[in-house]
Amino acid sequence: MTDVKMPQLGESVTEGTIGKWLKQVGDYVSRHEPLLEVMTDKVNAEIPSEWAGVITEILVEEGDTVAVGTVICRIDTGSAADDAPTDD
Amino acid sequence: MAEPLGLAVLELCPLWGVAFVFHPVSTTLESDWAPLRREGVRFIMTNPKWVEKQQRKEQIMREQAKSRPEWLKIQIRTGPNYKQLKDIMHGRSLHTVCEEARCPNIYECWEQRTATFMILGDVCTRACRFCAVTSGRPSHLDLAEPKRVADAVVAMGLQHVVVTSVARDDLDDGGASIFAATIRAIRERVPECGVEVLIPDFMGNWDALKMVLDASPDILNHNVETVRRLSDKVRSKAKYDRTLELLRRSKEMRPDIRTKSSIMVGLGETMEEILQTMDDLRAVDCDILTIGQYLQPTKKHLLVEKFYTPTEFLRLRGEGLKRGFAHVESGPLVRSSYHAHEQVLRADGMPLQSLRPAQEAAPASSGQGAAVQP
Repeated sequence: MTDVKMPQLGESVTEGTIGKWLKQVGDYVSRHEPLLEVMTDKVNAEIPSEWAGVITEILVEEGDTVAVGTVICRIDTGSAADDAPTDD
Repeated sequence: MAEPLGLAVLELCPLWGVAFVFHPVSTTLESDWAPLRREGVRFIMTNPKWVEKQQRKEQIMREQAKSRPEWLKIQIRTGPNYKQLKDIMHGRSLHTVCEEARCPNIYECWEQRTATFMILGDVCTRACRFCAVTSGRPSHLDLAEPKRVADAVVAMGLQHVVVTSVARDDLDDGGASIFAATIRAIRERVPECGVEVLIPDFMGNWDALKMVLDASPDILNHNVETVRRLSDKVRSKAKYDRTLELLRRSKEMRPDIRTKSSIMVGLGETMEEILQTMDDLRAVDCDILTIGQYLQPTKKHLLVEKFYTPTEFLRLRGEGLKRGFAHVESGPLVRSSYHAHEQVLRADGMPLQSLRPAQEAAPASSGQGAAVQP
């Protein structure tokens, strides 16, 4: 199980707002695949997943603002092979 | 020519609701502009009217953030190049406008190893209402900066470098000599690298301009930023006509150096006003034009009045080319130095200053029509 944290989007930025989850609990996400959108000062940014696996938990809802480093979701990387094909 | 700062604040307040000023201005303010509350080095306006206005503004911002157009979406790619560039910059205590201005293209550009250096420190003597660079009183002048920039250009292996600066109205030459030294330092280390400078207006000090031109940059960029009607509202101290005169004089002094300017759209201008600004730039023989969407960097800055569609940007590009610009870069996320390297290749005509001997030796390549991109 891997914790996904709110990334830091810029030097002086200390928090981020979740714009939209592009994957839901139970969905498989492959490495580098867009996982969520974060709203920055100027634009919305798509954040790719650093891990491959199945989303087991989403801890921060869309529209919520949390500090950089806060765990925002969990991915089960255990059973999924790195490049396992998705069947959705 | 320095205007009393107190007046500048009075001018800002109706626009901002909250004005951030780093100078001791309280004595110059009339009583009904008070009360001022000191917080660190900042004075924050607390007049209920401004507070209310600021709240309204924040409400609009929240609504805009919820329904941002799809074409303004970016992808975060913090790959190895991005990280390496960050180390190179920070290791040499260099500033980039990419970071200071919170540029949305930073991931794309840095991953492609292009960056815009911001010299003369990271504190600007002006407080333009669109720009996120910190304003205040700069502390010192770093004479070793040109060498460090050149070192970084070498370390990054750049083919084209853009150098810009904060406005340094506190210096007699506005920092022109440091610009010139930076151009020369880069030339010395990497003669094949194209050098573009994006300069402030030096308060109309044309000797300062000449100092920069004498160092032979390949492109001299000076931004008009917005249309004539909005110029004084959007920019601080800079004047629409002075910008045009700077570009005109550059061409006059050094016709072999390409001039370039940029317009931000979305500040409340009309299409006709944009076209008029294009005409004004062409009337002073400006060669390269960039047009991009204004995006509000923080809640203290001007609101976005309109989000232009990609189709509208295409139309603007067409209007620019029709008017005779050698190159027009136009798109929602286009910034002054976006794809700058490609502009040099495309804006054919005069050879690059640094490549001049090499180009004269080599057979002329088919540069014609290169301004047309798919």
